[in-house]
Amino acid sequence: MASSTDHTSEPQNHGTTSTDKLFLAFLVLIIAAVTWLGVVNYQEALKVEAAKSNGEAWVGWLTEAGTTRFDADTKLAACKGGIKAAADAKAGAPGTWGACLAYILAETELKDQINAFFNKPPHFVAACDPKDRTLMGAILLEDLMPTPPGSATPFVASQLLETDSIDYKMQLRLSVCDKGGYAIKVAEFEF
Amino acid sequence: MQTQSKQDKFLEDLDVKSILGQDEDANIDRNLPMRKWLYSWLLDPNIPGNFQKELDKWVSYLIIINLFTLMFEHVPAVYEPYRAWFECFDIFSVAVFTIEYALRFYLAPEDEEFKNRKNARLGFVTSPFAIIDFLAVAPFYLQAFIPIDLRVLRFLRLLRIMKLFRVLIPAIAEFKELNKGRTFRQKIHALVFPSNFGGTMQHIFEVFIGVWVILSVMAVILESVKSINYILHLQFVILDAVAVAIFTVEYCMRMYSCVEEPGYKGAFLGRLRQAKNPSTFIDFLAILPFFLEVFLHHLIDLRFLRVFRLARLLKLTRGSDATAVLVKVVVREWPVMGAATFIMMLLLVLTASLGYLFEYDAQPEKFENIPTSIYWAVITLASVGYGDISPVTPMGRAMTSVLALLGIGIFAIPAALLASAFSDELVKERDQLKANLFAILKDGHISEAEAALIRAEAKRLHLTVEEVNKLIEVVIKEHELEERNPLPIHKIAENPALAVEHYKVLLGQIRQLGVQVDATQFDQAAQAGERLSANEFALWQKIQGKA
Repeated sequence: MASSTDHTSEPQNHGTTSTDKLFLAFLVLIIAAVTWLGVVNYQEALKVEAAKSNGEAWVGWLTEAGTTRFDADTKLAACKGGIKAAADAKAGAPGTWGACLAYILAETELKDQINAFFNKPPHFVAACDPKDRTLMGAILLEDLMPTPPGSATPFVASQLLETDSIDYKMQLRLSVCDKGGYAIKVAEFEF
Repeated sequence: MQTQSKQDKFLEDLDVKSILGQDEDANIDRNLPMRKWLYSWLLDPNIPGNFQKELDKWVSYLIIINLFTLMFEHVPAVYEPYRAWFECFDIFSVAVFTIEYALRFYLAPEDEEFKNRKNARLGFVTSPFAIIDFLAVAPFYLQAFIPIDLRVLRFLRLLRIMKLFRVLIPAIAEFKELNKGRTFRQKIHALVFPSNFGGTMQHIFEVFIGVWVILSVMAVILESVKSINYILHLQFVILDAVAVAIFTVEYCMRMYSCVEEPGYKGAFLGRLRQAKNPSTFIDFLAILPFFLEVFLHHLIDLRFLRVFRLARLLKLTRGSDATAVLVKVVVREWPVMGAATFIMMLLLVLTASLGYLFEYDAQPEKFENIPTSIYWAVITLASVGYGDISPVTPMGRAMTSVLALLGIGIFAIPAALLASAFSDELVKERDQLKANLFAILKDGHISEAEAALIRAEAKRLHLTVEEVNKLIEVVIKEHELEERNPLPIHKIAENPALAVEHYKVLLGQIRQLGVQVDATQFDQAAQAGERLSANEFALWQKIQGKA
C-alpha cells in the first residue's frame, strides 16, 4: 500500500478556505443528487412491487377459483371447468379463457388494478421483451403443458390465449414484466 | 572492541515483536487483587497484550450484526420463518451487552476516569458511554414488565449502534490530535489516504468502505437469485443507493485531497493524474453503473449494468499489494510471456486448420469451419476436453493425441513463468528488506521512523515475527562476517562451511546491489568502454535473475 510521506506536516492555514467551502458545497450537491436519484430508483422499484402485487392478486384469485370451478354449483359460471369449448371457438365463447377473463375484468376486484408504470390497467402479453419498454408491468400468463416421460424438459410453456379451452385442471405460471423488460415469476399454480 | 560487543548485545536483545507493533503477552501480576487483575486483563487500554482491544472489536461486530438483524426483521418473508432464530440472537446480544455493562460497572473503581470520584460506580452510571450501554439493553428488560409496541422496541434497539461511539470517539480524538494545526484538505487526505496522520480513524474509514464493498457485491450476487430478489428487491435498491452515496463521497474526497499526495501536485494536473490512476478509475467504475442505470436504462440492458456493479469488488485491491505485484510481474515478464503466447497461438491456428482439414468431411456439422475448430483446439490444448466436439477420423485422432500432449507443456509455460517471476519478486523484495535492515541495524539504534519502515515492509510482505527474526539473524551473520572476519580469502577457503557462507554473503551483496542500483544506468556503465566482459555481464544478469 502506498504510503504518503510527511511532506504535508508543515502547518499552514488552519481554517476552512474558500476552496474547502466550495468542495463542501459540491459534496452536499453530490449527496443531494445521489439521494434524489436513489429516490427515483426507489419509486421505480415501488412500481415493480406494484406489478408484483397485481400478479399476486391474480394468482390468489385464480388459485381460489381453481378449487371451486369444477364444482357443479360453482358461482364462477364463466370460468367453470369441464365445459368443452368448440374446436374453432372464438374469444369469449363459453369454456374459453376469453370468457373467464371477461368475467374477471368485469366482476371481480381485479378489474380495478393499475399498472403503476403507465397508470393504466395491466394487459396480458405473450412474452416479456427487454427491447420493448411498453411491456413494463404487463402480465404474462402461461399454460404449462406436461411433456411425455423422458423428455429433457418437464413441460412446455405457452401463453394462455383467449381462445384456449379451460375445461381441464390447468397448471399455470404467472409472471410480470419488470422495469428492464425481464419476466419476474410470481407463481406456478393450479387453476 | 567495546563498541562492537555493545552492538552485538543490542542485536541480540532486539525485540522484534515490539518493533512490528504486535502485541506482546500482557505482563500482569497474578497476585493483584481480583478486581484490579480483571480490569487489567479486560478493560485497561494502557496495557499492551491484554484483551481490551479484542473485547471492543467483538462487541463492535455484534453491534453491526444487530443492525442487520434489525433490518431483516422488517422483511416479513425473512423474519417470519426464522422468528425463533431472530429472538434467540436478540437474547444472546442482550446477554453479552448486559455482561459487558455489569463488568464495567463492577470494575469502575479501577478505571482512571472514575477512580478519583467520591463514588466511582455512580460516576460510571452517569457517564455518557454508560448511559448508551444502558439504553442498548434496557428496552429488552422493560418489555418484560411494560407492554411496549414492537415498532417502538425496534426503534429503541437501534440505539445499540450508539455503542460504537466507544470505539469512534477515542479514534476521533486521536485523529484531531494528530491533525492539530493542519488544513481542512490535509485532514481529508489523512482520512482517505494512508499516512502518518490517519491513525485509527483512517483504519476505521478503510474498514467501513471495505464492509460496504462486500455488502454491495453480496447484494448484486443475491439479486441474481430470483427467489431472493423477489422478496428483497426494495431493500437491494435502498442498499445500492446508500452504497453509491458512500462511494461517491469517498471518490470526491480522494479527488479533492489527492494533491496532498507526493507526485500529485497541481490543482488540475494532479487531480487528472489521480483520476487516471487505476485504483481511482476502479472507484469511478464502482459508481458509474448507478448513474448509467438511472439515465440510460432505456438504452442499455439493465441486467448488464447490474453485473457491471461487481467491479466494486476491485476496490478491495486498494488494501492489498498482491495486485500491484501481479501487474509488476506480468509487465516484467511480458516479452517472454508474449513469446510463449505467440507459440501457443501458432500451434492453435495450425492445429485448428489441420483439424478442419481432417474432420470436415467426416463431421461437417461439428468442424464446420476453422473458427469452430479453434474452439475445439483450445479445449483440447487446455486439457479441458468437454467432449462436445471430438475427432472421429484416424488422422484426426492421431493429431489430437499429439496435440493433447503438447498442450500440457505449452499451456504450462506462462503459468510456470508467472510462478517463477513471483518467486523472484519475493526474493528481491526480501533482499531489499534485508538491505534496509542491514543499514538500520548497523548504527546499533532503531529510531521510530526506522521501526515504522520495518513495520510497513513486514506488513507489505506479510512477514511473521519469526520470519523477520530469521532475516535479522541473517543480517547479524552478515554483519559479523563483515565486521569480525577480516579473514583473507585463503583462510576462508580452508573451511568449506565458512566458504559457503562467505559465498552466500557475496551473492546476497550482489543481489542487493542489483536491487538498489538503477538497472539501465548500470547496464550502460558496464557496457561502456567494456568495463565488464561479456561473461562477467552475463553472470551479473544471471545473479539478478534476468538471464
